[in-house]
This record gives sequence, structure tokens and C-alpha cells, in this order.
Amino acid sequence: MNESRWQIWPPLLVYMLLVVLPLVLVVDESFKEYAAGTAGGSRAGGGYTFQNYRSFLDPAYLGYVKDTFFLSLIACALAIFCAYPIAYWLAHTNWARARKLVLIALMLALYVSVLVKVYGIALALGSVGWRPLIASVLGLGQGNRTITALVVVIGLLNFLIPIAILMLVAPFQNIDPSLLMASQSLGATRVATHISVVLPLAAVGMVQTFVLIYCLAISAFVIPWILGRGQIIFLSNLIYARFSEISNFPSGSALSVLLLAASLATVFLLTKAAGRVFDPRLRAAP
Amino acid sequence: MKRLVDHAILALTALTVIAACAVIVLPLLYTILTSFDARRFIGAMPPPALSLQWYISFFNSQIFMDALRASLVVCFVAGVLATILGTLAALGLARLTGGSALAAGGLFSSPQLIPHVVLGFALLLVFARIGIDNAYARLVLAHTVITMPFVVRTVLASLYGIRPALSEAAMSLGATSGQVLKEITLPLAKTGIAVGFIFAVAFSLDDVSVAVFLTDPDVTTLPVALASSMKASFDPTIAAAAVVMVGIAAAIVATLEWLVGLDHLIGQGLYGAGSKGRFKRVTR
Repeated sequence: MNESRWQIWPPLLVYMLLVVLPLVLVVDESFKEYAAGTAGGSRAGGGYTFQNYRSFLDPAYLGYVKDTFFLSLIACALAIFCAYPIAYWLAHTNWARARKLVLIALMLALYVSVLVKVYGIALALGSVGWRPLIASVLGLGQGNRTITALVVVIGLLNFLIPIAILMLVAPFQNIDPSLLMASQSLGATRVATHISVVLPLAAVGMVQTFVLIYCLAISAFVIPWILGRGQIIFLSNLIYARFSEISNFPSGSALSVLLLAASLATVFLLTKAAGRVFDPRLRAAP
Repeated sequence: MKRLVDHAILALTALTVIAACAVIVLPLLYTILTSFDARRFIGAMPPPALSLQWYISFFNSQIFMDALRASLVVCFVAGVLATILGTLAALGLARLTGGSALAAGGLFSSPQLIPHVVLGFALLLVFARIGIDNAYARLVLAHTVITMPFVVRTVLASLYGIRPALSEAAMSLGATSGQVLKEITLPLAKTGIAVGFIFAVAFSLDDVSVAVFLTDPDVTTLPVALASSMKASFDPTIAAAAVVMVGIAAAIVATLEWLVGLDHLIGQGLYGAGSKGRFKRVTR
């Protein structure tokens, strides 16, 4: 069947041109000097520079970095926590009709445009919505940054929970139900069974889910753009601002490299950790 | 005592589930209610009276209608291109083994790993460098690349489901590899191809973070136009437009359910949960 290998070449060529080449250009651009008033950096001022990266150590930049990674972390932990029981139920229920309805609702939630969700959250937690109530409960002013951060986290949760549920169903489904019955018939409570049987077996799936939604969270664009009200700014928003507001392409490129490196590092480290710590074969060994 | 812990955890679980449902459902409800609000301003919920004024305003808006048309053109053309290229990629990948399969597979799924804002920004640099100044061309090319991974995945899954004996039988009866592709492989993979196309179109219709870099003052997609106007105000016309997009999403989910069934899409797992009395499917 060697004769039909041509099929992979057209898509491969497209990917070289439209994925690999662009990323190479971004890395190249990120080392150029910024020349105001021109689109794209210029090397007239003396070639390559680390200036675009050095400015990340500025306290203002560190604030954006912290917002991006820390708020995403909170949102992802909460999303897994909320998704867990629902995914477990979906995996084990015998009530086929309810399962189907919930799946349809989840698919809808997944396919409804992010704009619908962001608009609804902005209204529901806006000044005619529950924002004044939340502000008075927390004892903060309505324009307070903490409340905005909370709204951004809720926006991320709305986006991440359906994805987390759908991803967690598979690992739960692959747990042999007879293990649960065995544990319970030997006298363990439901909670004890869950912690000692289900949790370790589902751990790899949970880490994989976490990695995926964390990557989605740190690269979220519309949610912090609209819900952040300019108070919470993610790296993705900063990249767009470098393009739309001041046309500083070298700085935007350096930010892009940072965000890309963060995503890839997350995937790499966590998949590695997951393989090491949670490998069920290691646990099963006597 | 043990029972008590069980009950406490059950209560906590119930609370979590309720909170999760609220976070997912309430925003939708707010958007839908606002889109039917009869008031001329944004007020407290629920609205005192209902009307279709915001839908009329949406369908009469020159900007939004132009954007809707551009979105539909881009998602269709990009969807077709992504389906053709993605199917080719899947056919090629199915034949590769070892390291090259891993490398090519990694490359083809990379747009889902690379943050989309980064990809949008990177494509902007490339298009500026090679001088593509037509916004339609830019958007179609970008959306082809970001939606192709969906097609590759669904087509590859359906290719792995085809028994090799079928094509071997055809070959031994004298069919050329082109005939095998046309008569056996593609017909059997057509559901995967159709599902891939739908995923691609759905994703293209929803994209903001790539398109926002590639539009120009004359050509913009509906999501970008909506997001930009949301940045300025929360005009309920946006809510009406958003609800129209919910309708499109519902149509897409219904088509998927009709084509393959959502249960199949999610998979039944090794032990076939949730399919009482049904044929136990062991996929993958």
C-alpha cells in the first residue's frame, strides 16, 4: 500500500505554511527592536535584542502573568470539583433517558457561543444583576477588583465545567463496577469505597482533564476581555492590545512565546507527573 | 457515624451540582430573557413585558447582517477545505506507523494545543509578510487550519473502525488502491467525514480569538462584531444576535444526534454503563 502515501503531503504542506512558519516568524519577531509608527519591528536599531523579554520582569507585567495563571488555576480546580459528581453519575446511571437529556444539555452548553455566555454573565453579575448584592456581602465597593476577578472565574467555570464533565465520563466508565460492589459488600461505606477504589483509578483521567482545561483557561480570550472590564487582563488580551492599540509587534510576539511556552510546559509536566505518580499498574503491583 | 459522613458528603455533592447547573444555565436564561425584553433599556430581571424589538433591530442592522453573511461564507468555505485536507491527512496518518505517525499526528493536532490568540497573532505576521490583504482569504485560511484537527480526529476514528479484511478482499479481487478508496474506504468513513465537517463549521462560527486579528474595517465575522460591540455597550441587540447563534448551535447538536447519536460520540466505556439492555459496545 506504499503507493498511496501522497495523501499526507497536501495537508502537511498547509500546516508547514500556516502553523510552523507563523510560529517561527513569531519567535524571530520577538527578538526585534520596537520602532514606533511602523507595523512590525525593525532591526535598524542594531539587530536582535532581549528587551521584549526583559520587560516581563516589570511589576506591571508580573501582575498580568499572575492574573492569567492564578485565576485559571482556581477556575480549573473548582471546575473539576463541580464536574466530578455529575460525570460520575453520567458514567454509572442506568436511567438511560435522563442520561441522554443531560448529555444533550451538555453538548448544547458546549456549542452555545461563548458570546451568549459572556453576555449573560455580564448582565447577571452586572450592576442591574447580583453585583451590588455580592459587593455588600463581601463588604467591598461595586467597582472592586476582587469582585471582577470573581466574575472572570465564574465566566471560566461556565466555559470549563461542561468540558470537564464530558472528559471525566470516560475514566469513570472504565472502572469495573464489580470492584465497587466487592468493596461495599466487604463492609466499606460509599465514601470509603469512593476514596479507596474510584479515586485512584480515575486519577489519570482527572489529571488529563485538568491539563486540557488549564490550557484552555490560560488562553481564554473573550471571557477576560469582556468580563475583566479592563481590571483583569489576561496575557491573551495583552497580545491583542499590542496589535490593536500600539502596533508593537515585537512585544506581542514575546508575549505569544511566553503564553505558548506556558501551555506546552503545562501539558508536558502534568502528563509526565500523571504517568509517574498515578500509573495504575504501579499501584496494582504488590 | 459512618452514615452521617455519607449523608454530609451527599448533601455537599448536591450543593455542588446545583451550583454547577446555576453557573451553566443562569447566564443563558439572562441572555434569552434580555433578548425578548420590551423595555428600551437594560433593567432588573425579569422583564415586565416581552417583545421582538431587539430581533427586529438585529435583522435590520447593516453591520450585523454583513458580519453574519461573512461568517456563513467563511465557515462554509473553511469547513469544506478543512474536510478535504483533514480527510487526506487522516488517510495518510492511518498508513503511517511508528515515529513518523506520532510526529505527523502531533503536528495535525497542534492547533488545539497552541493558544488561539497566539496562532491568530502569528498568522497575522505571516499574512502581512506574504501580502495577503483580502480579509476573506485570511479568515478562510486561518479557520481551515484551526478546524482541521476535528476532521482528522473523527475521520481517523472511523478509518480505524473499518475491518482491514474488506480492503484486502477487494485488492485480492483485483481492485486498484484508488478503487478501494472510492468504493470501500470513503463510503464507510462518510459518517466520520460528515461529523468532522459539522465540528469544523461549528468551531469556525464560534471563533473570536483567531478572527479578531484577521478582520478588516470592511469584512468582519459576526462573533468578532458582537464581541467588539459588547466591549462598548450591552445593547440587547447583541442578546438577540446571541440567541440566534444558540439556535444555530441547537441545530448543530441535533444534526450530530441524528447522524451518530450522542451516546456513541461520548462512548459507552468498557462496561457499557447507561445502556441497560442495549448491545454492549466496546469501542477503540
